[in-house]
Amino acid sequence: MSITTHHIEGSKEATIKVQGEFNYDLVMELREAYIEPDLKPYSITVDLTECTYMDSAALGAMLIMKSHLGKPDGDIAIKVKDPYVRKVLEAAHFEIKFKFS
Amino acid sequence: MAKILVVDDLPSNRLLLQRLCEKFGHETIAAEDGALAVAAATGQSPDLILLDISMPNMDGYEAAGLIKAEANSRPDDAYLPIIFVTAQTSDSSLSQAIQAGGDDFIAQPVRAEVLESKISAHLRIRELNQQLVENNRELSLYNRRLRQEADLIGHFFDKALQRSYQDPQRFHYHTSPASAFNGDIMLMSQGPVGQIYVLVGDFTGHGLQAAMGTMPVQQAFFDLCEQGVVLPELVRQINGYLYQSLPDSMFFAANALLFDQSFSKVEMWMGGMPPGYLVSDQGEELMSFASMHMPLGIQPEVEFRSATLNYDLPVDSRLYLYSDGAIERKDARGNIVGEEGLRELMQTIPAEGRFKKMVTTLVSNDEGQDQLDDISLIEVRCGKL
Repeated sequence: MSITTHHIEGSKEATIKVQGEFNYDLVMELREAYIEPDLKPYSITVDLTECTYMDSAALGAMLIMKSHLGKPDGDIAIKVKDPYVRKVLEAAHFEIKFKFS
Repeated sequence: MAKILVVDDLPSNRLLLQRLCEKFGHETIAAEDGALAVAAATGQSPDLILLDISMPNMDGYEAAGLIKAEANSRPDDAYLPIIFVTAQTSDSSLSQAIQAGGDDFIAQPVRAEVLESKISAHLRIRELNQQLVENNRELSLYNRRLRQEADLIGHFFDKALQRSYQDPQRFHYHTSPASAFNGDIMLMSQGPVGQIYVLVGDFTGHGLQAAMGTMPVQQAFFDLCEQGVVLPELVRQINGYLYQSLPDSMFFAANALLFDQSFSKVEMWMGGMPPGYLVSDQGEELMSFASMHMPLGIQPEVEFRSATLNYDLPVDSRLYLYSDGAIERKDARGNIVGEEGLRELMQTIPAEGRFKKMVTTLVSNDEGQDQLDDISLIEVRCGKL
């Protein structure tokens, strides 16, 4: 499991990719992914297409990220593939705070 | 500087070793035979022992065995090195020395540099070992204090739960926390006109940090039920309280239910929990209830949605709700039980033994593997009994 950030200077787009199980162990890593480098000015996509598990700590971490970056509802995009991960996000109705693609 | 016990029956040997050790900067004590060596090792706590083998009264092998056994029996004692000083350098006598409890040997006549390096190498190991013993001691002390605190806090939780309404005819429930504290909530309360409120929920994470949030929710729940507030108001109040007090990373996934006195109608607010099911006593799935809202504690008052849904409950049916810890469980063969697994149990097991079977399926797997999350499961018998 790991988190990687891709951002291109000038393009204003950044992707945070989470691979494997997204749980409490990755919460600090997610934080590091958007604080250094500071992703505030970027338009952000969280790529969960290779994420196979997500728990409530991970959901909480996503909410912290959103509030830290000061992004309005629906501004941060989430890409999701795994049916279990989708179920977790849907049960928590994250479509209210994030944009699913 | 260390304290070294020098054991030899020949005064000249003893003096030579003592002088050398003192030259290396250590303090020395001396003993003339094995028996005196055992007494000195016990009474004067040396850091290292230089031990001759053939001596009157008790030889070095026997003394080494007794000294090691005594040192090992002290719970707080670290590695006590014994170096045999011997003229016998045959393989068999060396192996006998190690077997007797010695840690090393040095051949006579003793060469100062060899003696100095062996002493400092073994003292280094002793020092590391002492550090380890000390750390262990601190850790177990800390652990014990933590357990005492846990017991005390647990007492508060238990007290708060005593306000919960009991009706063993209607409600069958099971909760098992992943650690000493439960971050899941399972509360029932009777309102002023006989209506029954149920709150089943799950705080982010588990352990003490998750359980912290449950206390004020319990208080608020019982107070609001006593006032007989409508269900949307109940969840709105709890949400408002949690939104203000919880850190951003925490929330409370919950199902709030309101039954009429005869359990023929239910009103539901569901936020962030796995789906619930209504199953007839014959095993037919009559309805499923999916989460309608975000969990509590995430949205500010203006965004919060308190809309509820109402359902009629047929006689001879049972309602099932659970926390996500239940569907992450593995069965005896290591397969994740999951939503489908629980649904299958609901549909195949006769109503009477169904709940018990569901719990055993979840709990029997506890042995041998760590429970990752708090688990809650509830069955409500609906309609006239």
